[in-house]
Amino acid sequence: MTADTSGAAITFDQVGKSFPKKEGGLVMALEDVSLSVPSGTITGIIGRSGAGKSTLLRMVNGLERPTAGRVLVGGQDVGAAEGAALRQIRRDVGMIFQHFNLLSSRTVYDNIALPLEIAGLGNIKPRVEELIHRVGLQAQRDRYPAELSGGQKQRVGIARALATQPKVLLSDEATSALDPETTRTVLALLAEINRDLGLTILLITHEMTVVRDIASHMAVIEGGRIIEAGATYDVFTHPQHPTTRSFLSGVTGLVLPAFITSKLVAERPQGTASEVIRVTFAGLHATDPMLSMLTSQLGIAVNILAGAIEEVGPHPFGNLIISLEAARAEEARAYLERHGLTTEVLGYVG
Amino acid sequence: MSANLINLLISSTGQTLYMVAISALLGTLFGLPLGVFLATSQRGEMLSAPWVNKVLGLVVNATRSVPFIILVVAIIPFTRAIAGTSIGTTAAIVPLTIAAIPFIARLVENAIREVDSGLIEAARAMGATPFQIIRKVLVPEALPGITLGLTLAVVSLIGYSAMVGAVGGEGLGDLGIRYGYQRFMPEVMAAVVVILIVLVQVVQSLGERIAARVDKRAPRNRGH
Repeated sequence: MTADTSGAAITFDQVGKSFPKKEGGLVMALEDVSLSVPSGTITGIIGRSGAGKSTLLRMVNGLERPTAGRVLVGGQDVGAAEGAALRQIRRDVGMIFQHFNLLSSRTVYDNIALPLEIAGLGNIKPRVEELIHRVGLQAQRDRYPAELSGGQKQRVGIARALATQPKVLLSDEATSALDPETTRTVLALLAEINRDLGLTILLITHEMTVVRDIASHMAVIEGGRIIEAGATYDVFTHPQHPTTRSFLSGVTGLVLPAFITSKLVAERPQGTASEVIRVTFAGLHATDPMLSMLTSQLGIAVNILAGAIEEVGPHPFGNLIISLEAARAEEARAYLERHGLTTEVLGYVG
Repeated sequence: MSANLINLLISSTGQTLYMVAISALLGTLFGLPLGVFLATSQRGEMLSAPWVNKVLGLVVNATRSVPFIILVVAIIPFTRAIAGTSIGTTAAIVPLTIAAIPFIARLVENAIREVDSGLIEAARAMGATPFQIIRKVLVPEALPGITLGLTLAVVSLIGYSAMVGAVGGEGLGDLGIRYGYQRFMPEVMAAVVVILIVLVQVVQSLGERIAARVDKRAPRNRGH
């Protein structure tokens, strides 16, 4: 994902954003960010709070302006657009929010109608009814937001964002205020919309599970810089940066349970010891019964300490942390590597 | 109490209602846009005009610092220019309106500032113009607060209207002073006070009822 504009719905080209500090000097919120969001994909930007992801997202519809570089949406330079031209771009970019930002004084119907009223369109009723149907809120049509659950509110937010038939949908932590079950249904709705309408979705989140569940492409942002970007599957299976690994640890069993870390030593102790190894499964080999083959073919007993296997996009992917007899560990690792798995020695237990 | 006095009470109540109603109406007509502007024109805000904002803020504060009875006298030339006379009930509407505008403006400003900034951001993201944001988002969302503010303003105007006897304005306050106090008729004074209490009660509960009706922020029973 370089700053190549072909086939990109959104292009960040060496984007920077700085704010003047009270005591003089500049705070760099974003620095030299280049990223292409391929058209029709769901792309997730993950970062901790204050990493700059929110600023980056808000540049796509001109709520924030870059102080360096360009942000292109459908080939148009958003940062340079003003007045009516900017408002026109904004009508082509829908946005949903963590706290939904629905008007409390308007019913579901009227909230969804708002962007159409703003765009000055006539005969909006059929369009609004269609959107209510799409997000499954027919029964809540005349309710006020205060009478809705969080998931229903976000469905209104999604319907509202789709009202003007945008080409791009921005999602600002859209599921962060929702419980896990509701998060799943909202993400499923976003995936469905992406599939049905070919809409490009750019989302920011601090939860790796959100990226894993719906994003085909991802970028990791830290300290105002993109530190890693690519297809989600590639980043998940071959994370390069420690921050990426730390984000992944929660979802892929990359983190060692405390009862192991407390006993783990870096040097192999004298006498009988066990070696602790992380085995990463990816792609085709993820479904092979490698550990039982290790036992049956080499006669090495394997103790599984921790692990998780997930689907990232269409592929299974997982991590297992195993321990086995240190004396035969090298042999075992070579066997696993030969069969397409990645191994990493984490330490030894006496 | 003689029929004559009862008639006086009735006509005085009518005059008070007339002064308060017209000045509240005019005060809202000018105070509402002024309040909206004050709430949206600080540096970096939607209608960013920091200097105009500051000057208007000063004028509003200055007007609100002047005790009403002094304001009434101080603006007599202005009142005469607007109403053609500086004496009488209609003329009294001018100082009442002048007092109401900055009061209502501040109340509206506060109500508008209470609106969640996320809603403004959402409207901007939809491509709304500042005017659309004000008309479709800020004012409707601030309506419960604005309604309560206007209720407060009307109650204050009822109190202020009692002072306009100083420039020949009539109404309940004037009646109370001239008959209840100067002619020492405590029953008139008592009647005036009771009517004022009832008026304020009615205005207050009506305002609260309307505010509750337009407030959709909390879920409530959807009884039919």
